[in-house]
Parts: sequence; structure tokens; C-alpha cells
Amino acid sequence: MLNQEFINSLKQLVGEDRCTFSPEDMVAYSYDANPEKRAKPEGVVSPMNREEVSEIMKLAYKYDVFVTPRGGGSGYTGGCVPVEGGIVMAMDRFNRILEVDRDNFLVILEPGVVVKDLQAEVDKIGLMYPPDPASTGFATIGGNIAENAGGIRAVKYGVTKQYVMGLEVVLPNGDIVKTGSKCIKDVAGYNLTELFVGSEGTLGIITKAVVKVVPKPEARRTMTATFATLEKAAEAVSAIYATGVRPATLEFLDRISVEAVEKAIGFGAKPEEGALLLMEVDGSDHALDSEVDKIQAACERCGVITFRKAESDEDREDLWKARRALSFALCEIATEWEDDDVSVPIARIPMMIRKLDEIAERYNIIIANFGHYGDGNIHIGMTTGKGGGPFPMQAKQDVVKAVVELEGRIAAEHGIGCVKVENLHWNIDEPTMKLMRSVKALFDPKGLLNPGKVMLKG
Amino acid sequence: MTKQTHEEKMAVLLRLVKNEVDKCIRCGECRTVCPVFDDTPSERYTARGKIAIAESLARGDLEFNGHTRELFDNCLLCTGCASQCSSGARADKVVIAVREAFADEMGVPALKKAVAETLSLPRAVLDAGARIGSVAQRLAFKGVPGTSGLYRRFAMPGVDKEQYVPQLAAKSFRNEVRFSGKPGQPRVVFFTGCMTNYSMTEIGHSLVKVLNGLGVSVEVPQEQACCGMPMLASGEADVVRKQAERNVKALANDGDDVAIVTACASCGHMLKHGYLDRFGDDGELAAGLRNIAERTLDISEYLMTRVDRERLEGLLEKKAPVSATYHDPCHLRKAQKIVKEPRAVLEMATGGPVNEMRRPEACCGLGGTYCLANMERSKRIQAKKIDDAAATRADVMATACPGCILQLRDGIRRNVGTDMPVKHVIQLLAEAMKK
Repeated sequence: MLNQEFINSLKQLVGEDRCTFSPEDMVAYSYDANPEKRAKPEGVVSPMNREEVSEIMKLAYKYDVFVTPRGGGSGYTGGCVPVEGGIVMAMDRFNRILEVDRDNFLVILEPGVVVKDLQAEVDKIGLMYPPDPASTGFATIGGNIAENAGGIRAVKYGVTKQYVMGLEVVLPNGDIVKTGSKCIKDVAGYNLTELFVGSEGTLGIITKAVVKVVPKPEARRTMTATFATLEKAAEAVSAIYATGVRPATLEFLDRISVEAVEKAIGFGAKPEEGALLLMEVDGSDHALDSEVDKIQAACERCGVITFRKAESDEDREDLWKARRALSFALCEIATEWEDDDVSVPIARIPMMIRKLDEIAERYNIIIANFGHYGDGNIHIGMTTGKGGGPFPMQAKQDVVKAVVELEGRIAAEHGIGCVKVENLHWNIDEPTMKLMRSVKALFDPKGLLNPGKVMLKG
Repeated sequence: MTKQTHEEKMAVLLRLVKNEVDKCIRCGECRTVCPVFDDTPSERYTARGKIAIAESLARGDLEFNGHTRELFDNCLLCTGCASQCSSGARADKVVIAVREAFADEMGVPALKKAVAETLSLPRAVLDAGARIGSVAQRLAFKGVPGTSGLYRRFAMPGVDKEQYVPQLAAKSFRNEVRFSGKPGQPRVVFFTGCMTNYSMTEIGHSLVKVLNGLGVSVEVPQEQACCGMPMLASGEADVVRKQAERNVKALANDGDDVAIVTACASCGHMLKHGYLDRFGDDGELAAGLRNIAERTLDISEYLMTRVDRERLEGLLEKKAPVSATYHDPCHLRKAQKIVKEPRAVLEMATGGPVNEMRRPEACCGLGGTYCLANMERSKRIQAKKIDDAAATRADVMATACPGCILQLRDGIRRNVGTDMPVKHVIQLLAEAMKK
């Protein structure tokens, strides 16, 4: 229960219209995109500037109130679900792009800016902000930074952490700290920026960010290739890499995914096509044709069944259709899926898929795999099918085990949140975990900021 | 019939919203398209928030009170969220279902009740009222320069002094036109909508002029009634059902090849989807409603798909191009997915490309009675629209919904910097025709 003095002080600080304690608002701030984890906060506050954030944190510190920061609320691991109650700090009003510094290829902006709006802003002047998660249209940059979001261009361009140059952060005690700078080369002090990136809102609240942008590639080409098996597709990927070509996007669909999409939208897949690669290369227009030729030749050496190239924007949309239709198509197999988001070293994807096939057989379940082949990120959908009975949760643990055996990571681009918190020890050994706990304690001695996330208390 | 208990009613509500609750994965995609959320960034106003709160209400975890009602009243039913949602969740259906529950639990607010009661009156009474109103208006209101509208002379309860009020027609459109064309020609059935019938009759006359010019006769069924959108929005399902029955009688079973055309985005949405969303499993009524839905086309959709383009172009005078910007009515673009057709009509009418404003798809803020019940927020949404339109420096603003015209003219009156005329695309097309 929130202390009445705290409530009154909060109301005085931001005004009654920017904090709420009403039951219906508590429902509206009880979730993110994770299907299971929900918890109501006891209050919600919407600060407008860093001074307010700082004052709110001081107040929370004084009254021992849990604070859960929240951006677009589009996360999949319950990262902004207030599992211990307390207040939600809604960062929606921090939605300004403060400076587009074209000469230095960077943008200074507030965390509530929707990623697509940042991308559109720099696109106007021929620049690109590369991280491109599926939620780009509605996720905020602050959330992307806090979760170190990935996306479909990660294979060539990397993930969010590669683009964050500096941050302004409010610590749990109300201190405002600044990390990094506008400089590409900067070794002045510890690299605290990267400590905050991916910290899932457990160390501080981001109030401003300096992000890097790059020149927009002149052109891009899109193509798909199908193979009999994912092993065959994997050989093709190795062959493509051996040519020196680095696609910007390299997505894959496994047999179950291909079949589901074929059934749902009929994109023309033949029964023998058990794996699909969707690839894009970008760069200068004159160089791309030869890159496409190299990719095609590599695929042909590895037994490609069908190779399609997009000649127009419409063609490109056509090729993307299968990938985009996937979620919808999988709903035809089952409405309830247990999802996971894991990462393995790229060359081990075929091994991981084999292990997943074994798990599917062991538990008599359906596992659909798709994701970002180029960066080793597999999205795993598991189900017992329509009317197939309850899902054997042990299968999920077996997936985690398989990932660890292949030196993979239990979370790739969706964070740990409160959903995977009990599994972190699979990847992080005890001495390392102890260091992480000390870091948390240093930043947040009372453990008030986003409690219950990332790791268990020691 | 025995009266339903509260629990039974909640079970019905839960059944109505369950499908959308199941579909919504709470990803937040709906946040980026909601005009209310854009104005006030609070999760309660998002579609996913409303869906979650609706479920809590139905389960009895939340109370039906002024606070919870406020958030369901704060929806323009623009259907932006539904058209954006990757999972196909229909928050607009949830809002309508919950408003019905509120109407039942707490009654319908007086203002909305008055609108619904007026528009569902028998035709003769409405006609007489409009006639008297048309005269009375001139005493109470001053004319707005350059438009066929008015604003108040004196203080009146419930009406903002700056509010643009449409001039009621001395003679309703349906009383002037019953059939226009020649027997034996191909014909369409024209569903006029209230605004065109009683106020902006020039839209109806323009539609008739264009279609007659193309050799298409226009039949105007006399017994057609208000489509029921305002009543649906205020949660009065019983009244909507009566309107639906009246319209089935007036419009249905006319032969599958005869199109029903409309020049009002909201009427079109209602005829195509609104009735079926609500009464789609309602036996005989549903069959009649399906018949109507299958035959209904927006006028620009009709012109672009059923008419020979060269013939249409042949009717038009070659003049110097006019710079026109276009506002997408929500119920045309988002609800009916009609985006290209009105633009194509507009380009024909003005002889040049559309001078696109920033975010042409953004809601104008009318939302039926929303603009009266939630005036401040409506005006802020409206102001953004007018700013975007004014920035184009176009000569004229076109749209395809009489409701939007009303709201846009009102906005232009309030926001200094532009006196851009606002017209329906069909009006501009009729004006471009050879004399």
C-alpha cells in the first residue's frame, strides 16, 4: 500500500492530471505484450522532464516505493510489468527529437520517441537509424535501449547497443548522470553507456539519448531461396558468407513455418521445399547486381529449389509476404503458443534446429522455428496443437539446456524481464552473477527500481 | 421476457468482447494511430487498454461509474486501431458493446439521447422540424462568409459560440429528388444520409448531376431512415435495430446488380459493416443487411469501378489545375479501405495531383456527438488537422463525408490563417462538368 504522504507529495509534484491511482488505470498499466505476466501497479506517474523524474525518484527513495519505468509497453518478457506493485513511471511525454546533427551523424532525443519516427526523421536527409525490430512502428527508443533490441538488419548493422553513444540517466537516488559523448573515440572513464543499454530499466531511468545514424544505402535488393531442408539452407548461408557478401537481412522459415504460410496464403511453395531464406543486400546500386549473382550462385551450389529476385517494390512485398504472414499463419495450427527467443553462434543454427526437432519428438509437440538466421537468433514457437492438451513445460527447459550446450544465450532480443529471470543462471555463473548483483546494489541500494527483473535477488 | 440480472448482462458483455480480448496481444501497435492517445498519452485511452478494462468490467473487477464511462466515451470510433491491428482485434466493437452496457446501467446522456431521438423520428416529423428550423436558424445565427453555414448570434446552452452550425435546407433533398434520369437506363439507389438530406443538399444534387451525366439514373428511396451510426455510438442498440429494419425495408432485395451508393463515409461504413457487426447473427434481419452490405459502394468507389473512365473524363471541362488537399474520412479510409478512389476523383475534378497534407489520414475530431460531449479534446484534434491542411496552402480542401465537412469548416472558422473552402469530392466533380 502506498503511503498517503507519498501520494500527496507526488500529486503536488506533477499535478493531479499527471498521476493516477484509479482502478481502471491500474488495469491499463498491468501488462505488456507478454501473454501471461500481469500485475497492477498502485499508481502511475507521467513526468515531463528529467527534473521531475529526479524528484519522483527521490520521493520514492524516501518512502521506499518500487518504481517500474515504462516506454511503449510492447516488450515480450514483462519488463515493464510492475510485479511488486509500487508506481509505474510512464515515459510517454518524453517524445521530442531534440537535435539531428547531420555533420556528426547523430541524433539527440528523448526516450519516448517511437523508433519509426526517429527513422522517418533521419530518412528525410538521407540517413538511416539501422536497428529495426518488428515493433519499430510503436516501440519507443527508450525501451529499445533498455532492452538492447535487435531486429532484421542486425546481421549487417548490429543491434541497438552499437548505436547508443551516450545517455542521460536518473539514478534511483535521484542523481542525474551523463554517460558517453558525441565522440566516436571516447575512453574517458568507464563505459557506463553500455552498462545501461540492455539493463532493462533496473539501474536507472533514461531521460535522454545520443544515438548514431549512418548514411542510407543507395539501393537494396530482395530475394528468397528455398531448400529441401534447413541443413541445405545452412550450407548455402556458409557458401554466401564465403563469397564475402554480407546480407543486411537474412531471415529463415523452417518446414512447419513454410507449410503453415503456404496453407494460409498460398505463396506457391512446393511440398519438397522445407526451408526458406529471405535475404536483402543493400549498398551502392551498381555493386548490388553482382552481390545478388554471387548469392544466387552460392545457393545453386547448395541445391536451391527456387530462387526468386524482386524486380520492383511490389515484388519485394510479395517476397516478404511469407515472412509477414507467419504469425497469422501459425494461429491456424494453434491459437496458444509457447514462444521463446534464443540466440546461438550462427554456425550452430542447424545443430540447434536438430535439437529442437528431437525435443518436438520427445514431447510429441509441434515446434515452428523462424527468425534471423544471419545473427543466430531463433524464434521458437511450441504448441501441442489445437485441442492437444496442456503444454509440457519441461520441453521449455530442454530448449534452454540445448541452447546452453551450444554456447548460446537464453535471450536474444527480447530481454529477460520477469519471464526468464529464473533461467539466467543457465548463462551466467555464480561469480559473474555476484558481480552483477553488486553492480545493481551500487546503483540501487534499496532495490526499488524495476524489482523482480533480470535476475533473482542473491 | 424476464428481466436479465446484472450477472446475466455481464455474461452477455463478456461474450461480446471475448473475441477481441483473445485476439489482442497487447503489443501497443494501437498507440500510434489513436487520436485520443495522441492528445493525451495515457494507456487507458489505447485500444488495448480499453479492451483490458472492458474485460475487467464484464468480470466485475471494475465498477460501472463515471470514471470508467469517461474512458469509453473518449473514443471517436474512427476505427484507426482496428485497421492497424496486426491481430485483427476490433476495439471499436468493444467500445460499442461497453457503451451499450453503460446505457443499460446508467442511462444515455441527455445530449446523445436527444440526437438519437431526433434522428429516429418519423420522416414527416423530421421534415417539418427541419423546415421550421431552417427559418428559425436565420434568426438565431449569423451566416458564415463563404460557406453555407452559420454561427450563433446569442448565448445558447450547450452550443459553443464559435461553433459552426450547418444551415438546414428549406426543402430536404429527398423531398426534391425521388428519381432522376430516364426509365430503362442503368440506375443506382442513393442512400442520402441525414446531413445531405437536411443540410448539405448540394452534395446530393452533385451526385445526381454526375451520375445523370454518365447516363445513370438515380433512385432515392423515400422510406430510407438515418443509418443509425449516432445511436450505435451512444449504445442504443434497440434504436439501431429499428433503423436497420427500416432500411432493410427501404433498400433490400432490389436485385443484386443495382448498387446502393452513398456520399457519406459513416453511412457507407454502417451499411457495409456496422449493421452486420451488431446484428450479423440475427436471422432474417441479417439476411437483409447482408443484401444491403453487398450492394453498397461509396460514390468514388462506384465511379472508379463501375463507370467508363473516358466517358467520365469526357464530361469534364479542361481548366487550369486547382490545388486541392484531401482529408481522409476515418470511416472511408480506415473502415472501408477506400484511399485511392476519392483521390482519383479529386484529380479528375481539379485537373492536377492532390496536394497532400501531412497525415491526411488523421481524424478531424468530429466523432459524431464526440465533438460536443468532449469539446476541448475534439477541438485540439481538429486544430492539428487544420494546421496540416493550411500548411499545404491549397485552394480548396476536399473530403468525402458531410460530417468531416462540418468539422473542417468549424475548424477553419476557429483557426486563423486560412479561409480554405471545404467541399465534398463529388461536389468538385460536378462543378468541373461542362455546362
